[in-house]
Amino acid sequence: MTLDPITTEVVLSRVRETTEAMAHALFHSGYSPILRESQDGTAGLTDADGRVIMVGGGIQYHSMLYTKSVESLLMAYPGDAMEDGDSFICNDPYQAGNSHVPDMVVATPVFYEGRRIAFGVSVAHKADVGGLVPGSSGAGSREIFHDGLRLPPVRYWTKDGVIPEIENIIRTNSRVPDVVVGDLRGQVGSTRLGAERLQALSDEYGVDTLVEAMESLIDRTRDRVRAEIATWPDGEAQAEGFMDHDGADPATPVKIHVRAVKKGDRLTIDFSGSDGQTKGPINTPAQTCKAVTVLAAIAASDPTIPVNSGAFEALDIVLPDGKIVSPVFPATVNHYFPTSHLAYACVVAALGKLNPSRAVAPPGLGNGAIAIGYREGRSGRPTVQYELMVTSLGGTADHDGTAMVMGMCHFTPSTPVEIVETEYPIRIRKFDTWEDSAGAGRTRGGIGFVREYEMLSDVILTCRTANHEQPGWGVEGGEGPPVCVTSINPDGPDSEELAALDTREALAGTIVRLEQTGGSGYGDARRRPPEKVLKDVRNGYVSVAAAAEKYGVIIVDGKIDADATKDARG
Amino acid sequence: MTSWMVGIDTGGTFTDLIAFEVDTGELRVAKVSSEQDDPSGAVIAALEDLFATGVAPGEISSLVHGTTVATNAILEGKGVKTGLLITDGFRAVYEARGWAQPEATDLIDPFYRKPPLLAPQSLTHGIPGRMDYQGNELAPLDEDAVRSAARSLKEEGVDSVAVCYLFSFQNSAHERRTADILAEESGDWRVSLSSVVLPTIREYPRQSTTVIDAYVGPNMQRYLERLSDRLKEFGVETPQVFLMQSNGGLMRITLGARFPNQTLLSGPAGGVVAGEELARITGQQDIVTLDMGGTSTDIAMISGGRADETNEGRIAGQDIGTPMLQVRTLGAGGGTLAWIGPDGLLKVGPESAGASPGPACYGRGGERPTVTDANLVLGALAADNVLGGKMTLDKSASEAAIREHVADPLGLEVVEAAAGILRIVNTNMAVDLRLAFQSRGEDPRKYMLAAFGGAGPLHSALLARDLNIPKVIVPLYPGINSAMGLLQTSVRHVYLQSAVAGLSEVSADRMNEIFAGLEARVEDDVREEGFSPDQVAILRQVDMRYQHQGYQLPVNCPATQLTEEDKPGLKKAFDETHQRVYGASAQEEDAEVVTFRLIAEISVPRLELPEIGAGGDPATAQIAIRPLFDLNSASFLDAAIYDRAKLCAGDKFDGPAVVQQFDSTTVVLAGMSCAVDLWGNLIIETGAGV
Repeated sequence: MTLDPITTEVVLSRVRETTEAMAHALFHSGYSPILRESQDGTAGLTDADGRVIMVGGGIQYHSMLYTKSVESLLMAYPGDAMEDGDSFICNDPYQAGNSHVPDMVVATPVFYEGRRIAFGVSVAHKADVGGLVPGSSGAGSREIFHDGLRLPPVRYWTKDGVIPEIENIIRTNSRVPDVVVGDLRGQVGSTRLGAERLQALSDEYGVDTLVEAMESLIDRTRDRVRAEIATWPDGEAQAEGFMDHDGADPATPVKIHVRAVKKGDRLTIDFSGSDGQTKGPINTPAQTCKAVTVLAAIAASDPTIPVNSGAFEALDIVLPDGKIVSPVFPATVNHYFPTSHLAYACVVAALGKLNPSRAVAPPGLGNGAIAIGYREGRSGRPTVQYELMVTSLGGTADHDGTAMVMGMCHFTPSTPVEIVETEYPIRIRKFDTWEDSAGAGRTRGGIGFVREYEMLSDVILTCRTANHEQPGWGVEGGEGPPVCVTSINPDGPDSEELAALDTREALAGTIVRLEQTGGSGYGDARRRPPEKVLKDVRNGYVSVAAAAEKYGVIIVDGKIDADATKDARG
Repeated sequence: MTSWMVGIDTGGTFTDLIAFEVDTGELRVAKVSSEQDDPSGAVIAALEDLFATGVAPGEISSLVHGTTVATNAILEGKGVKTGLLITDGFRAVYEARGWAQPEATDLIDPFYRKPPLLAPQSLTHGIPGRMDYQGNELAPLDEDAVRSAARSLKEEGVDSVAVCYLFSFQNSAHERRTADILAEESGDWRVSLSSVVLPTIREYPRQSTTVIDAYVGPNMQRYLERLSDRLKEFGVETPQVFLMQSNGGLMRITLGARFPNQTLLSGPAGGVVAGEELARITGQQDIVTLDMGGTSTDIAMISGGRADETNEGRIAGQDIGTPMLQVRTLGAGGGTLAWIGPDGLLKVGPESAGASPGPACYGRGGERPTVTDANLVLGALAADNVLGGKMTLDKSASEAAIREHVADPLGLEVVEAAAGILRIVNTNMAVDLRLAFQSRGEDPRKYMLAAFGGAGPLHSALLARDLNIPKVIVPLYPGINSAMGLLQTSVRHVYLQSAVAGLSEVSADRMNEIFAGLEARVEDDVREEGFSPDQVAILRQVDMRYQHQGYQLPVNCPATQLTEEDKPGLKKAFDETHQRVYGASAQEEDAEVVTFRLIAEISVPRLELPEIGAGGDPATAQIAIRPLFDLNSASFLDAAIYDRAKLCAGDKFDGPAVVQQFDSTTVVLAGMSCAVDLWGNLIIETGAGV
């Protein structure tokens, strides 16, 4: 049977409604600021075999891991072992496909008349699941066992409700059990809502129609990605970038290398030239690397193409085992985030060479997070403050890069100063734009920022950003931005610059400053219209000195010196 | 003596006027183009049309205006040059705009852009001085820095200054002192303080809202002064001149320049208020309104007779935290285009042919098929009954457009393709409606669907059936509903004050003190409006949440002074609300109070919908029989065609039927029945939901 294009569109609209409803439930039932302010999670649907159909809301690079989660789940609970009403959890990256152990996956099989037709799935970052440090993602991790509690696929819920023994294991292993369990239950609720909705849609449209429409969505994405690729000229392009080091061996930068080969409607993206997996925690699980590759490929072709497993069928992603982007057990992966972002930037760079009409300068490198563990929050209970740190987008052929968003998925995870200070014993001294932090170019990168904290109690502080030594790069003659800097007591006599990845005890009164870089520049900075440079100077984005040095625009007393500018620009 | 109540709603394309004579219930309407150099021109033009019918300016007893002046200033980037003073070292708050997140393809498109800053960083000055989270002063205000910023902004020639310091909702002293200094430095600018505009926690939405207030305030002030002058010139002398606010209530026009943000949703709010009035007269307290025009559809939920509110509004990408009615807008209207997507599936919208060139059947150069074209082909619309016969539609043009752009590419017959267009636009609306119900935890079976706009009544029966909504109501004048709503509400002011604390920790005295502070503001404002404080009815609410949650829910507070004994009742009410909306509650957990809310209302003369005459024999109103396509059986059925003007109270008939009137058409599906109530509303029983 082939469904007509009208019924298919109608049914798929209802599937979209389902995933939106799931995302709404997820983000409105969570307890931790991570879900509500950073939206660090997703909810969606896979088919009965785990192919991703559609994901609602949240952070899209979390969307492709579900295939591995479901495959592991089917191995752990084969045959009739899963029952209608069950929900399962898993957070071992080597089984669930999640990026690191704080990202817990929930999967609820959807049954209709005894047949398993799909899974309602969700992943969400947890405030703490044990491990070396509060927030679980410590710089000192050297194997996955250090990262925190690892759960294999395990039944967490039945038609009669939660399985308390399992929940107790999670509670026992978290520094903030109430928040973690509250969020986890929110995820379960979201996936079960998805299951109920799909059952109702099966009643309404017929189960075969529903399943066929959902499967067709995967085929449509595959076909659209292939059709877009077919319009590019055949060719080959390469790109590479470096992480400072893995946290264990500070002397050795770690390379990600991408070779992209386009032939006909096939695109091969090969990471074989990347360095091997590391001892420290900067490894990125293969499933995450694949997800960011898909996002980059769609960004470089047509962002209206729905993100689902169909993209994998259009791309050949080559990821030999044991690379920084495809580590094998028991490598630690807790600091995967900036590495996956660098992988994204490399794929975008390579594909931009193959399809220049969609080429952009890369977003600033150095995305990451901070986690601060308190013995007592304002409420008197132990608590963990977790904030994502982003950068800004690169310049495009049309306009300057957008400021302060996550590069591979354009969220602005900025927890309000007033919320942070109300909930935690900490003061934010600064959340300011950072002059000259954007890569120069005909269109410049988005501006970066400085965020500065003062501890009001003794804490355990983990700063995990990236690219404090290895800079980003510009495109079409544009320049990269400066590197990120994290410093302790920056203006005092005991000032100290931290490595990108650092965990330490910090006493009350300690000041921590994070300087997060802007995006890269696109095109020759000396071709940027001088009036735009003057505007940047007036806005505090570019200094007078940088205007002269990088842009060849001479500004005297707030005005452009036209003659001097002409001389400077040659 | 004759006495007319007049509502004037300025929309994007047209300005609608309705006038009701208070004693006789006589209705007069006027419609003029909104496109004038001076937006007050359209208001005056509409009034001139009314006066041409014999109404004298002195006979106008009250006038309510819905305006888009503030909204357009944002949409078109035509607000004033605005300076911004913030806590030193926090320029990234505005630049980051970390609140609402991008949607759809913006999420992954590297060409994504954020909306422009209404106050650029070049006009932003950081001022040293700091309050902590409880409002204790950590560092004093640097008054010299304020003075020097003021001088610099004066040199730049800014017209308006926004001030937003951290934790000013807890302690506004620094902002108030800043306002004094700004006044000393120049009397020429308007000053917006965040502690006045929106004293609530979360610095970004507070700041964005304050900047909007500063950015559009002077435009609003100029507009209202000009309008008041022109009304006076005309001899409209009643002091009862009001503006419709985004919260569905009125404010005296004299207050408008102080609260420009309150008008940003002025137009759609009128339609929602009309829905509330339908809830009141029919006794059906739960209503969802569907206002479908040429390019878009507005959806709003009314529960227990009261429309939903939000404080997460967005106008042209600019975030605004001022409480407003929650209206969801989606790109589905009569002029919405049908097309084949890159995935090979039939799509409807969001692009629209608008009024020009409009649907193919208008014969104004539109060649692509629209929802209106589909409705014409399916027999829901008559070719000769548009605007009372002033305009005819070209059905063959509709068929040709559908054939070329939909039917042939998909290998379908024209009628099948038209039915597909109808199904898909309907599904798009149904998806949004279902999400609206879900986000509130509401059951559609309790609801009535109120259909407005030229196209709402065409689609409402089908939608109700899909959603399991048992009843549809179509008011007598669905096309001028927003203007009608202007005359059906009270003066309403909403005041907010954040003060975050555990419910078990905060004393009743402290809560009373906060409410007393808000009540003092009510008194000031209503006196300025010319009312006496004893005319005011006050509702007190507290927005509460469980600890760590990022969203809160309002709970009603007793009207009397609170005592410690009231707290368990508040907690219980919160638990129950949370259970209803989110399907869960945590009775064992302490709750936090986040924001105190005071809603002040004053009754003003309002339009009572007149009853229409009784009939009983709808056959006298039947003017034709026409084939109408039925989606269920995929075939044309004979439908009775009625003239709305001839239907009387008590008339009943069964579907399939079509009710035609000047600017709207109602479809009643096979298997449904329709009755006319005392006020001339059509009530369709859909047979669903029982």
